[in-house]
Amino acid sequence: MTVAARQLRPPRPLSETLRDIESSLESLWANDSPDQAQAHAYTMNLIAVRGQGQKREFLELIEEVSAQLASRTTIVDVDPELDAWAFNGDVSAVCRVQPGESRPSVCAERLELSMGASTAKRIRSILVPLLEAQLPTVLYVGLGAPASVVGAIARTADRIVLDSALYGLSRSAQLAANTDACVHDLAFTRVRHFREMLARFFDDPRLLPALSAIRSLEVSYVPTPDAAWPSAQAELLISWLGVTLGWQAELGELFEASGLQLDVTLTPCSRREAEAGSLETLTLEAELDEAPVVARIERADDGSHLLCSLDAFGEARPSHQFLVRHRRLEELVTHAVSDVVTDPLVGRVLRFAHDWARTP
Amino acid sequence: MDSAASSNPLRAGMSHELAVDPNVLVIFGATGDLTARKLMPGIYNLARNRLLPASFALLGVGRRAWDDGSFREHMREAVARFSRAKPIDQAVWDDLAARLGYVQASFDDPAGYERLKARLDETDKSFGTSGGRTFYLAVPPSETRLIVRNLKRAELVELPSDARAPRPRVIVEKPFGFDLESARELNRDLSSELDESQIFRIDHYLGKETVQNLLVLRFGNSIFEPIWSRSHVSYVEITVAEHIGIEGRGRFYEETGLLRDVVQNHALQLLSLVAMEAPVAWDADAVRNEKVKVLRTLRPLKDITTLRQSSVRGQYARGLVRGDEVPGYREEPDVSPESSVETFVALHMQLDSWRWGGVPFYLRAGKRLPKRVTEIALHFNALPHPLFFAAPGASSRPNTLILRIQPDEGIALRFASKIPGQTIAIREVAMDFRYGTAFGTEAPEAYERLLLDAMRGDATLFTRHDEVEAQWAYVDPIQRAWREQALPLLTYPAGTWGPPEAHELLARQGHGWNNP
Repeated sequence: MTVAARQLRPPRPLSETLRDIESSLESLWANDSPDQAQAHAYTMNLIAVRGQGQKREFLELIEEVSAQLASRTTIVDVDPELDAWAFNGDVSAVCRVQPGESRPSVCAERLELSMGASTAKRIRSILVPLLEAQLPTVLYVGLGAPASVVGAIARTADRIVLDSALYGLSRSAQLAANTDACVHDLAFTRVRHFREMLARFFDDPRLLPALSAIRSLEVSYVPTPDAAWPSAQAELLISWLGVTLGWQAELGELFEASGLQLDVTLTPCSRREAEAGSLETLTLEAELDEAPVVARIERADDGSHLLCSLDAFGEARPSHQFLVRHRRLEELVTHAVSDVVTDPLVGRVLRFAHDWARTP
Repeated sequence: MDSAASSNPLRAGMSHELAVDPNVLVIFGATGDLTARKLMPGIYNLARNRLLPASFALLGVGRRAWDDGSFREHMREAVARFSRAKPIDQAVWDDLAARLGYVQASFDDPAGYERLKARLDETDKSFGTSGGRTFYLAVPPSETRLIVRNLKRAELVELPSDARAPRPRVIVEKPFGFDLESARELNRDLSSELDESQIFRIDHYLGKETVQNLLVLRFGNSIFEPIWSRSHVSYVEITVAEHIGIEGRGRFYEETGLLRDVVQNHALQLLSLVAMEAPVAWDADAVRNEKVKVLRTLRPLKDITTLRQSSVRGQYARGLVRGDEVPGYREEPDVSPESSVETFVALHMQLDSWRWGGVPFYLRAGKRLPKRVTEIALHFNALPHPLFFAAPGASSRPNTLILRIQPDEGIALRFASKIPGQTIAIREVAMDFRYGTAFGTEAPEAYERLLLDAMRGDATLFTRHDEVEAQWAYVDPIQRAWREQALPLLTYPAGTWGPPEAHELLARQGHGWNNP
């Protein structure tokens, strides 16, 4: 099969450029030999919005993600260096060789749309004709993606994948509040192990009442340098507890459902080879029948395990290790894009975190 | 599934489906082939995908004089060789290996069970497994009763009085008996020691992705149910074909034969799933109730005339398979040169139910057939009035929905389409969905899913006692007639689709096999 790629020339009516893109898509699948018909497969529209900087890394990420998933991938790039009404489209197909075969037999389309700021304001009307109908649309928000473009595309999306640590708490919370799409926050995904370990402590039904009597929380974390929200994971973890347990945020303080104030401490720390933004320790102190309950989760020095311990009922239980496998960004994004189950708490947790942070 | 996890508010938003309570998996027969090829690689892949509980350990039990260290070494070799994911992720393996232990014991020695008990208590303390126990009996059927009895005597399978405490489970491998009487006896024996809720009869076909997808296809889409019946379906075929022979298992096969090895379990499971009514809920009993109902609607093949018209049994002779010359069954090692054991079965079955009355179900299974394929084909009714002419050379077959279970799992729908041009010429085309190309995520192996379900206490994909007995009730008269030589054993050259009589079975009704 011949891979077709045509460069479109600005400036002219956007619809003409769009027509060219559509023609390129059609000619991509035309072939002279019926015996060599290719199959094109997609199960979703994937729209990836790029911000400025790190173009190569972004494209490599999308390349890896779309290699795992059969999707019509559209990369949207708003480039301030371009003329305001510039609109370029590059169409190609990414083909995979199936196991046991010698030539690629399954292909998926890739559209790379670069545009100026004025064109970007019409992004939704440009994208809608290019989306494959009947399939879900997933929006991936890259680092530095313009909020206006993201917001416009979000109205078309069934699923939004972002990293609130990079996109920012305020924008993420606003996006989650203003969309019907399922929101998947990579920063919230990264606290999953701590959530899971904390939840496991309270799988013992005898300990459940202690959740209504939490007195203090200490979380240490490695800040994400240059991030819009450096303490994202730590605050998301606390906010998750807040949403789940019915806490209130008021004047920068947290109160549990009974009205008692919680003593919450977030401490930045450093650890050699620690992943930026990662949670390092969590200590939860609560009361049960007037006796202390202390749950602790601590990341091992080499980052490979979480060490979990619990003191309750007057005895210290043996601590347990939980293997934590480092997941590359590509794995996280692939999983987020393809996952059909969305944590329904994400939007509420982001809004809680926003309310907590907003109060002085 | 009732779990302490489900009442924990911190679990809100987390997937309960895969939450496994703390557990020790105890494998009897840990030094055997099944553990090496399937179980240990399955556990490794569950660990790799972080689906095992944090508090998990595995104890192997066997007669061989291994210790913890040698058991870990052997299991590492097994994983390196048989895991679907390669190479081994060292960090995952190191963490898992630390949770592996071995107890040397003879299955008939009570002292061995006491040693196991002591080791389990130690494991609870070291790994926080809190009394969670799943016993996998990867042993010959003759040892199943013995092990269960001894587990009971050692108080290792007692149901706890506290409903919140973990319940020990026992996974039993097929065959579940060798006829109806022995299946009933086995069920009686197991039930005298265990509660039915503790018994997990494993049929690995039920763990296959496409088998589960069959239920999703049928009951997760509104468009298929209205046409999934006698009103629209002309006939149904189920094919379970292998190109390999008996692979050195002559002794086993001489005692078993294909009817017991494949038809009584895997093939009838597929039939149940295709023909069942929608369950009222996605839970173990609701689903299995519907499957048992299907088995009970099977019209028995009891009298010799019906058997002659409705069944074919065959045995492969020397032939060519995938270009290689292969010996006949009677030339295989440990097989009698006068053996009358079948390696091929074809059946014309009828289901006496509102949904399927009058619709033939054709089932064929065999070894040394041209290719390895398991598929189900629903052939829909012919057009009441053919409006269009078919193009020269094209067939005007009725629509067919094909569910491919293995290999190359997927679903294909064949339908007629107009060939572009001035005239209305029709050609058959296929709309094809394949797991491999549609989803980039790797599908788990069947045993991975089933091991996880058993540890979670979810028996939906396991066989219930009445299901096993209903399967045997159908198969028993057939195997009895064959044993009494009331029906001829037909040979077929290896590499062909069975004896010609298997084709006549359908041709008599104006039908034909869909040869994949």
